[in-house]
Amino acid sequence: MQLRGTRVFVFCLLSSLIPSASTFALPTMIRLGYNNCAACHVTPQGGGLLTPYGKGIDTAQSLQRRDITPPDAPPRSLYDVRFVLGASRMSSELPANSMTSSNVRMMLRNMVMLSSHTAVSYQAGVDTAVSKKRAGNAGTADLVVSKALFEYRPKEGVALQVGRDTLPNGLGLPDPQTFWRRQNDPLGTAYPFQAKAFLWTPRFEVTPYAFGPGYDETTLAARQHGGGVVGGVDVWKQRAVLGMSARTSMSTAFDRRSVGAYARLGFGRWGILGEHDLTSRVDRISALPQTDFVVGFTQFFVAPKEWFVTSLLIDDVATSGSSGKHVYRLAPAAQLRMSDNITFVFSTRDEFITGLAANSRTYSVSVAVKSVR
Amino acid sequence: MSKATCLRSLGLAVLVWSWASYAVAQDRLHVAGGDVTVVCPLTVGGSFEARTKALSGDVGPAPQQAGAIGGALLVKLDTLETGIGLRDHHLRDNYLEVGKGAGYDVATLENIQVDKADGKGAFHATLLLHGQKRQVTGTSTVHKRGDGMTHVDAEFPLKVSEFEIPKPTYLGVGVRDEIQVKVAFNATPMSTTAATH
Repeated sequence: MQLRGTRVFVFCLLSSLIPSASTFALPTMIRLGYNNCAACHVTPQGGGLLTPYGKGIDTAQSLQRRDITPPDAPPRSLYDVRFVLGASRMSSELPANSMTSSNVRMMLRNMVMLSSHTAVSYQAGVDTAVSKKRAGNAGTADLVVSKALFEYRPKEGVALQVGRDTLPNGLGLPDPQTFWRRQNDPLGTAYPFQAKAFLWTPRFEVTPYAFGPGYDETTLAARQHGGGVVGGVDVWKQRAVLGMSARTSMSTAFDRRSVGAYARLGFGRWGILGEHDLTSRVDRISALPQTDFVVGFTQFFVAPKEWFVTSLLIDDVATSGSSGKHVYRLAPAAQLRMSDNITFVFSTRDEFITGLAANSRTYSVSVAVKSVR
Repeated sequence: MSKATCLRSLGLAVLVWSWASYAVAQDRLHVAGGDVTVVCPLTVGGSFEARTKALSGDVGPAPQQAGAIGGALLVKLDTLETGIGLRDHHLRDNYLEVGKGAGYDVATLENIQVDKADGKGAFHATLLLHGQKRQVTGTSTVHKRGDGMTHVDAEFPLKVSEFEIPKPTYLGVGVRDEIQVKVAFNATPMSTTAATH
């Protein structure tokens, strides 16, 4: 059990240290008027597999841009294979915590149209990580099924999905979710089973959802049921989306309630993404007082070239209660999309924690290699 | 008629002509740059904008008809940018076909008729685009500033199909038939322009 706990810790730590290439994914495209994900991604939640049009935009925005020949007929199956290789070096004020790590993630992403209105999609792969510290080396190798969905799309602007996936949020970025979960739900799952509906028009987006456990939680008490809603409105020329989110969940050990707000703003070559959330957690078993987490994510990004996006991320978590602390991170990063196959991401990340905990700085580089369909 | 009377008449004529020319020059405006934004909604939601600053032209009251504006506004279409290079190439070469030359490389707005020469009102004009001339109708706001400069904001919808532009689509996603054109520019009186050049 202890070994499993160590593996989970190392996995969570590495996941948060190595910047995902999708950190730069498509919410930033609001700068060019793409105010939702459905134009380029097979699922309206965004991330993952691209539609043929999304692939065309992806290619058009790379350093080696080129035209894609349209298929004669819409493809019934879309797939790609994606490798993400990462390496990072973390320096901590406590030398014993300093570490060097590497990470290899291989992911198969596939969607099959069952009919003109129904589809199944999945994303599965292997995630391996090795870390080297003074205290010793550690490694993990995990089979991860991060998405397994059945989708029914009765008409344009409406999609119903059932299956395993990340929960919907305002920005659709995995990186802040990982960081926040590490603070306020470290034992929970990233990929709960869920049913959700996406309703969108050029101006509005609403996603109600209900969810249950992912069954990969490290303890039974971390298994949660709940529901929530994410909704936004385009307030300015398809360049500014403002929205709110709410979620409630319960397990045998605790109840959690969240309310948040988000903004996606884009102005040609630059923009701002922000999502802030207040989560209250009440312990059901002990008499511990309620713990409040105020979490925030802000990303300022600039795209000097279509294939070169720079950004500054600021994460912030303030926790109340006896174990209260304030953690925030500053992470300047640069992404270079060399071709439709290869993307490099360079970043540094400074993590500051109030109190006695040690601050740290991480340098990381990752390369994402994607197969050509 | 004596020689002196002839000279006096000629002098008066020159004076009247000079004054009239000056008055017309005072009323005519020179457009020295502006912003043209074409908002193109996508069939799957969202939109992109094609922008250029290559706007030029001289405009001013047409003497024959109240509300009529003489002159024309010109937009160089090979300068339109959408934020994605490949899309710029498609827009200019595949759809607007700027390489075909006259009538294709420049969009021209002429025969402009405004309801109000100051403030907000409607306008009608003839747009030459993709070799086709069509009437367009929109709204304009004219703001005359104290320094003699005139600021104009105008916008109008147009249908891509009416100008015989091929239906813009790429890998299954298209631009809706009706797009929106927005024009904003500052114009200076021609006499000022002439004096400063």
